[in-house]
Amino acid sequence: MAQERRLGYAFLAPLTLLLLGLAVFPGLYAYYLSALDATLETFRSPRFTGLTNYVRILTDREFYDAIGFSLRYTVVVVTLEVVLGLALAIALNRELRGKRILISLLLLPLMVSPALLGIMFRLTLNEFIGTVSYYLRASGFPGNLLAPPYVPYTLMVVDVIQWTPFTFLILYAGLRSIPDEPVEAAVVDGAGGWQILRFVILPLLQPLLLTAGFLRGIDAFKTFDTIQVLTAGGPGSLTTTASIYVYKMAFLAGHLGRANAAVVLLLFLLSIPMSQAIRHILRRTP
Amino acid sequence: MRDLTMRGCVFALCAAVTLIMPAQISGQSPTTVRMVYWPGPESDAMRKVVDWYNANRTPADGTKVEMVLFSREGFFDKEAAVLAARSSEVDMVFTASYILGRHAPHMDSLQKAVAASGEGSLQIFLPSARDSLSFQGKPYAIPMDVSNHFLYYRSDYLDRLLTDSAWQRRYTDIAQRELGKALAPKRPEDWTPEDFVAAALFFTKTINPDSPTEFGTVLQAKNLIYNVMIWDNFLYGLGGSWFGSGFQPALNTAAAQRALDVYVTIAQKKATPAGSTAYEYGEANEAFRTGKVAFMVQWSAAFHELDDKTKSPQVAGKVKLAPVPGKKTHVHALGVGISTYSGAKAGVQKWARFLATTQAMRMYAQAGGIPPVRAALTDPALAKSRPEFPVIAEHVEKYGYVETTIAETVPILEILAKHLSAAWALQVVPKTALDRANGEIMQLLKEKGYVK
Repeated sequence: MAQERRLGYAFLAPLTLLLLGLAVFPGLYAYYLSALDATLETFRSPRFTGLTNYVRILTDREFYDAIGFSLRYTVVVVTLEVVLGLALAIALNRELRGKRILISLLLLPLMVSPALLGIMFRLTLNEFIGTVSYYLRASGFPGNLLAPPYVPYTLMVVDVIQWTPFTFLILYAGLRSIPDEPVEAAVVDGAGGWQILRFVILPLLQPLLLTAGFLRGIDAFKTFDTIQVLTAGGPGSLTTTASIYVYKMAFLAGHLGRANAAVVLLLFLLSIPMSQAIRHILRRTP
Repeated sequence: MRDLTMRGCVFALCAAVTLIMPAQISGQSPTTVRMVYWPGPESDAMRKVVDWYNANRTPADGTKVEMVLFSREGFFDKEAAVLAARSSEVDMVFTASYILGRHAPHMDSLQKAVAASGEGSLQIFLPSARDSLSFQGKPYAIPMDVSNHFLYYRSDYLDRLLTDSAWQRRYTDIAQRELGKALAPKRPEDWTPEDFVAAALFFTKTINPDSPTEFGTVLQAKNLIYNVMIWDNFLYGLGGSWFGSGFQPALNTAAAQRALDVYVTIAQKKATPAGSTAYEYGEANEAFRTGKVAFMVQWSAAFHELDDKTKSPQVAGKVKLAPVPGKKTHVHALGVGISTYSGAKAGVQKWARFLATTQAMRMYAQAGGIPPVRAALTDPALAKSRPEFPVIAEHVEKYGYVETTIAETVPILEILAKHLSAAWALQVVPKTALDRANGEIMQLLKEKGYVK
């Protein structure tokens, strides 16, 4: 018995060490740095400043603006991605000619790196060489999608284009795993298409809907690459996400200490809804 | 017998030493100097100089140069991390004017190193470029590549404006109607920022339906530190600067307000494309290349591609250069300096002294670089293929200025980019943007001890 337990620990050891090295140590180090006046130049001899960095971040209006934008962005893109992903999954959950090719094409945006997608949209939306801009101008649209007031929505659409295939993939797999019996029973009881969806499919799919939304929510809140390439968080701070705020604080303003304080605060702020969401998902998962 | 054996051994040892030593001396491997660079045209040009040096000078100098390329994305952050770790793996640091203040504490001043022998002198470099790589009055890097700004204009349109009386009358009418002043057209070489705005309005189709271009100009108004460098020309051209006395921020002055009004008026009157708020170097070039704008303020590097018939068939041959209105041009240089933590100081100094020669700089220019050396930039043979080179030399010399090279240069640029881009996009009124920028810069400089 004791030998079995030792063997168990031995098997766990590599992963534990990996987690300690890649997650626990950097996490603790971020806490440590957040209490220092650390910059890249003073990295080896920083001064201890206690909670000063936290006070500076908490009194910085732009920190709240960045969180506000990230939250709005997350709510909009996750809602759209889950709804569109579900719609696509339902639409393709039947016998169709060329379905495999269609699904492969649908998944293409997932394969593109977010930074590259940003560059592609920078070209597509360019007023002089971009195809989208060309048709918009031809139809009499006076502005540019990368300029205010449209730019926040454009960034959301780019995210939806890239990540809807992800939610589609999860929900399609979920739909395929739903047994035929409950649907057939509902049909026998005289339920229509909408009723079957509302009272049979959605409840069965709920754990996956929550999982897809949760995973996308975490990722959307952290969005950096596409927005950095397209707008660099501007104009002004209009499209600055929490990640861009932290990046600029660390590498442009040069305040590693303050950037780490912002990271710790973000972790703290998000840990409550995150733990609630995880608990909710686990409760709903059979 | 024993003596004989002993003598024999000593003789054999001496013979062996005599035979082996010269072989060892001649085969002594040269000291390797590791120089960090970023990939692109600058490293392509430097590669030619490095190859020449290794082939021709290594045997005599005993120094071999190895170029290490870090990827361009986040380059200076990576380099700063290497320096912060006090790594001796890097002997020569690649730096830029705006980041020098962060690198200089980890670098040796070149004051003595380059002047320590007959070869090489920092005096060959144009003064503003030399200043742009000096920190607290001491030179820290050899300026390899200089960047400045020009007014790029369509000579066909601007020449017509100076000769066509109907165009001239309309120009004055538009200036009166839109700006409240009856301005007359001038040669682009004589433009003030006010003329820049008036001409931008004249060449905008929505304001002047007969304009040959859709927009007068194209602003680079993305929230980006490099775009602030372009706007700075108007600030300095109108008599302003980042600082008043000492390091007292001076962004809430009348000059700064007027400089910001140049951009804001152009944006309000739609004399720049709506998407300008997301524009940087590439987009501005594209707008100009498609023939949709009449002029723009752009980096010196753009001329080579805009005047190229294969790359820019619509505008090549019709692109002319003039000083930025206000006759001030931001100057910054990319350069190389010696890491304090280098373990090959003697070797790296030899290489640095070689780089500070006209011979090395000519070689660099011939390979595609833009060294801030008059003798290289005005070389008649080179000027045939790069006609902008003599103009760069002239403008950097006459109109060049360096904002500052303190360690807070990038944070200041970042603050300016954030607040000015909001005003450029008409999201915030100019005064608010300038007041906010001034306040944040003041706070930063107070924290760092520049201002009491």
